Amino acid sequence: MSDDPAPTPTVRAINCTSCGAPISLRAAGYSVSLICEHCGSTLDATDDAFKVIGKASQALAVPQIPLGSRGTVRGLEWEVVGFMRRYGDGAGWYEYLLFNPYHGYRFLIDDERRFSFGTMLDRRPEKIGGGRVAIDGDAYDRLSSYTARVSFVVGEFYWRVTTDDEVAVSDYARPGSMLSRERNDSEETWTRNELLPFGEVETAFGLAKRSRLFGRPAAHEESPVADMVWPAFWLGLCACIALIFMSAIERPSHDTFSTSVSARLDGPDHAVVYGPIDLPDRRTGVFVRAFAPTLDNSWVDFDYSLVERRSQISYDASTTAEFYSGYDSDGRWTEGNYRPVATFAGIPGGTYDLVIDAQAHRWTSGTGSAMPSYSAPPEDVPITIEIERGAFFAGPFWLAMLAIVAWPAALLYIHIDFGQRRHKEGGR
Amino acid sequence: MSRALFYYALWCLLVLLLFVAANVNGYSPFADSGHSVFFVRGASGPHHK
Repeated sequence: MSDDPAPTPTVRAINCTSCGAPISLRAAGYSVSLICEHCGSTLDATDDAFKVIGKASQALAVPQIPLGSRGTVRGLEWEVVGFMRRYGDGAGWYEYLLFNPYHGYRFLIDDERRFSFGTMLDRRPEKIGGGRVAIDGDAYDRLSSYTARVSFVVGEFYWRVTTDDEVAVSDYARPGSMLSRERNDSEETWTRNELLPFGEVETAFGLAKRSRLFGRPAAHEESPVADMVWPAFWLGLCACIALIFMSAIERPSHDTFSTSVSARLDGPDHAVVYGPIDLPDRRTGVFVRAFAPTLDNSWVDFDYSLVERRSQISYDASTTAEFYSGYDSDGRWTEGNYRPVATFAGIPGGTYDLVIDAQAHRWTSGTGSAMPSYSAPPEDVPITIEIERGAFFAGPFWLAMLAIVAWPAALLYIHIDFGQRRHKEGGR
Repeated sequence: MSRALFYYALWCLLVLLLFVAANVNGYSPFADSGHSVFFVRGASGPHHK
């Protein structure tokens, strides 16, 4: 194989010496084997009589790119002269032999997802340790070793090739490129397979476009999001830091007030008005926390109304403070929250009263194995009410955090998943 | 910077601006009562007890 200018070979029309069908010898003077595309017999292309040197052994397959097709790949026009189907390492792939009279032979490798452009090397890559090899300053990681077999072949080749030919293959990969060493009893060859961009071969040979998203990626295929993962991560990190910084800024009007109320167990409604509460900001958040630590197998329903004095517009919310305990086969159990919070969002500025309506109830049903506590609850439940104005809501903070982190996290997932699928591929 | 990263930067900026707006207005979509962007929740006309 040489890149030196060479005379244009003449395409010879011949008849298959096995079946008599007309076939073409496209690289006359270069090809050694010619496999009839009609009967699959292997003819000796170096012999003027085209002696049959191998009989057809299986049904013929039709290559996706027909023999004799011409297309421009990597800026040069190539003609498809041979086609092989090979398998090994649990995977199968197709290899087209391309020919250009001035540039020699190349391989077009099709893993049914993407195409690679193979060039046979005229020198051996050097070993650099750790199972790695390097050539032209690029290091390649050892990927896998396996036996590759030819399961189908048609067209003409510059070496003797027949179905069931076996070679020992070792693959070395780096993103975008793979080195394949093929050895048999008589020779060792190295081929560099460079991944071609999506659509290049499809456009060159008029094939249907292939999907980028699906299918198993080639072992030397770079993650489609590799160049975005780390910039997106750093950008997202900066945004998160800015978010934390902004959330840490306390509003000037932030303040807390508290009052005490009591509610009689199973007694009548007990409403208390606390005020005035000044909300100086245009809009602000208000939290109302109730604290009833003496609850014991009882609960208190709270109805809050935050009423603006001038307009009498009221903002209402309800919570329940509760605490239950008992014994069962597992021992003592407790449940409930005696410190509930009612949150008011975006309350317009003004002077407000907080109407607190508390109803206390004793739990007496004793469902299941739960047993009421022996300690008698007090008749009146003392409650501390704490009002916080200018309160900080954690909900928007976490929503914003999620919105910022989602895209880098998705990219990272795609990147890692792609890498795992690529390593599962192993072979070409 | 790729177009996707540029759009992501714009998205982050929008999210931060929305967060600041929510923080300044004491707004949360998860609040028990009060104003949201589109409606008033838990509020009723003058019915002072």
